[in-house]
Amino acid sequence: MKRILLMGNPNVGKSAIFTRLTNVRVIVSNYPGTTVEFTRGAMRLNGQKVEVIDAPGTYSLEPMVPAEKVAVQLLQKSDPEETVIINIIDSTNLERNLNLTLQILSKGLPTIVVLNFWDEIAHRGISIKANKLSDLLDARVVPTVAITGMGIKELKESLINARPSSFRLQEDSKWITIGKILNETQTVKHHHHTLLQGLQEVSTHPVAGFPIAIIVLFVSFFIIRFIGEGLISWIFNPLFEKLWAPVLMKISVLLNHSGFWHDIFIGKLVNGEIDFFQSFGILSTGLYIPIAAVLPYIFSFYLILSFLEDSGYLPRLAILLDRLMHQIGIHGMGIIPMMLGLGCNVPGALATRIMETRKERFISATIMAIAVPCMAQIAMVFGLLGKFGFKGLAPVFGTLFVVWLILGKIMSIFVRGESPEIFTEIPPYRFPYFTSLFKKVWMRIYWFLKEALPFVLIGVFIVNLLYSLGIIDFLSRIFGPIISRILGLPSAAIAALLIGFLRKDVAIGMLAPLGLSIGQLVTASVVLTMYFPCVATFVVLIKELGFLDMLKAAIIMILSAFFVGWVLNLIY
Amino acid sequence: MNLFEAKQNIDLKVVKINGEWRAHENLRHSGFGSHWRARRDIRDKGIGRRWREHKDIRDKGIGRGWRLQKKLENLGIREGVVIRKVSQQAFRGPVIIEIGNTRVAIGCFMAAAIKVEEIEK
Repeated sequence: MKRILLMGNPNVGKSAIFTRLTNVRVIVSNYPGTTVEFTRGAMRLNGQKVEVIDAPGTYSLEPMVPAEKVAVQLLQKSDPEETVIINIIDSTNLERNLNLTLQILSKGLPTIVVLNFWDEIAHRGISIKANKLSDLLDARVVPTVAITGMGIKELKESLINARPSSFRLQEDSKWITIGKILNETQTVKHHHHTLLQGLQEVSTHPVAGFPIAIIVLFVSFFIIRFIGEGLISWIFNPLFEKLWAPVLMKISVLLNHSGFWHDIFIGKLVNGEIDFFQSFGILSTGLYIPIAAVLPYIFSFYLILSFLEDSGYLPRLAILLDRLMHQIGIHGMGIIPMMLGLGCNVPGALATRIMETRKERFISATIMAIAVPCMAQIAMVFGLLGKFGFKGLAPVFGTLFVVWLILGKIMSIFVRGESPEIFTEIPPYRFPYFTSLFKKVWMRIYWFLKEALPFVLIGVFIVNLLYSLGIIDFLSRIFGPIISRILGLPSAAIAALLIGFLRKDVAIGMLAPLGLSIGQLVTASVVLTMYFPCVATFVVLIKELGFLDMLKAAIIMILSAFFVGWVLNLIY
Repeated sequence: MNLFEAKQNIDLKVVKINGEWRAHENLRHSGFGSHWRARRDIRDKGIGRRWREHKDIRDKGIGRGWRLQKKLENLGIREGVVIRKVSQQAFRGPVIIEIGNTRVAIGCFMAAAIKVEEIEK
């Protein structure tokens, strides 16, 4: 055996089991479609290294969305000699899950069946005879609770003796077979509604759901802002100002206050002091932007997002907003790429795979890349425009929201293809397990530090290089008139547009030393969000949409960015 | 009676799931953009593509590109099972149905394609 493949319906805990088996951290959430790409990991079994693959969830072996296609292709390519399938089942929904289980067993690969969520069946009044099920399916059945680790040891032991099942499914009598299996293995008693189930009714209520959604979103926003600002002004700013600035000043003295290397590492001194927003050296602004300005917001945002994900609120929000989202040509689940995109556009772009048709994927990916700023960028806009308060922030995010609506509406009319209706399973509310929630937040922060920090440093380095080589001066002489005439920005802003392709947060940071008015700052922030995705998102979008569609999307981006920038310039 | 018209919170038996072309026919003239949207869906397909899809519909019962029966069956909703309509969002929003312990949100046109009857206790 060389490979273990985790298969199962969406939202049954495949990723949680994967993490338990391999210690490779993957994102686990409480909504169908969290995993859209397969992840490889490895585990030791009998001293032998075995590859473990976490596949996206699928309801059957006939895929409906791209994420499901990935899973089915993985199964079809598997070599029966070398692969063991772990089929994970949500014990609270045995009937529906067995549909896929029987299809998988009939493929004749060695299979272990895992009954996950074993702890939840008791208080739902269900009891399942695992041994009987094992006999009927002719496969080993292991009850587990992935999130706490119950049953994982038994699962690992059972992997060694995994063998193909002799079960073969007759397609036309499928549900009769499943019914027979259920009759013999499962008994369901009536159970009383719990508090969470009551909450479930209210939060998708056609009237009461909306005030609840508004409250949830506002509370989330204020907590994000509160934690983010708090961390910046109480921890990170003092750290940088009191501890790091004196060190930098010493280095500055060593470098004689000026010169090429001084500009690159420390940057320009403002009134003889280091200004972490304006100096623009690698060690000053280059470290300040990712660590002190952006990281606190990344932390607070992902804390809240992870909570919303794990509790199971996101699909409910999708249902409430479905009617609105249809106006822009995508169904309610399109809110998930948007929410993830608020953290970082890369996972947002990947999450468009939960949409079924090309039209929906194109619209959601394009408006996400255009009008949804990532947290790094939002944090920098807060840093730059926060001092103007509501007057500074509302125009930026208000404009982006209006652009999101209008562009979506336009595209829903002109992009050809179909926009199918929402079709999604709603997971029950679950209390998040705080250990796994914090692990998830840490994973995302780690990912940010690993992926973004080097890019920011490189970005700042390139900025300095371009300035000292005079390339920026050259470019601003050529493109400056266009930028100042259309957008009303100083010609030096071309540098920000250039660097925005690398990192948007650095680009917004570059506006700080230009001494712009509030109107110019608003225009520049909006244009920088819209005109093009950053390079990481760009690469993912090419992969997701294909080259031609990405080209179309890019044209839409550039045209709409300059149009909106021009309108804002007229207003201010 | 279809699921869209059915009452909430009573047991309903699925009689038939229509997978026909324009399963939303009975909603076509009921305002709020559905007529216009239906027209556009048809317009957006070239004649060739419409024809091919029409053939699929005849062969496999695929309707409006949803493969509705198959999708519902994957979630355990098929002819003969008992379901419950939990809620219905305003302005022809999604319908939430419950089957066993699963809750599923489906669009209202899909709901209109599911024919149900009330179970008398």
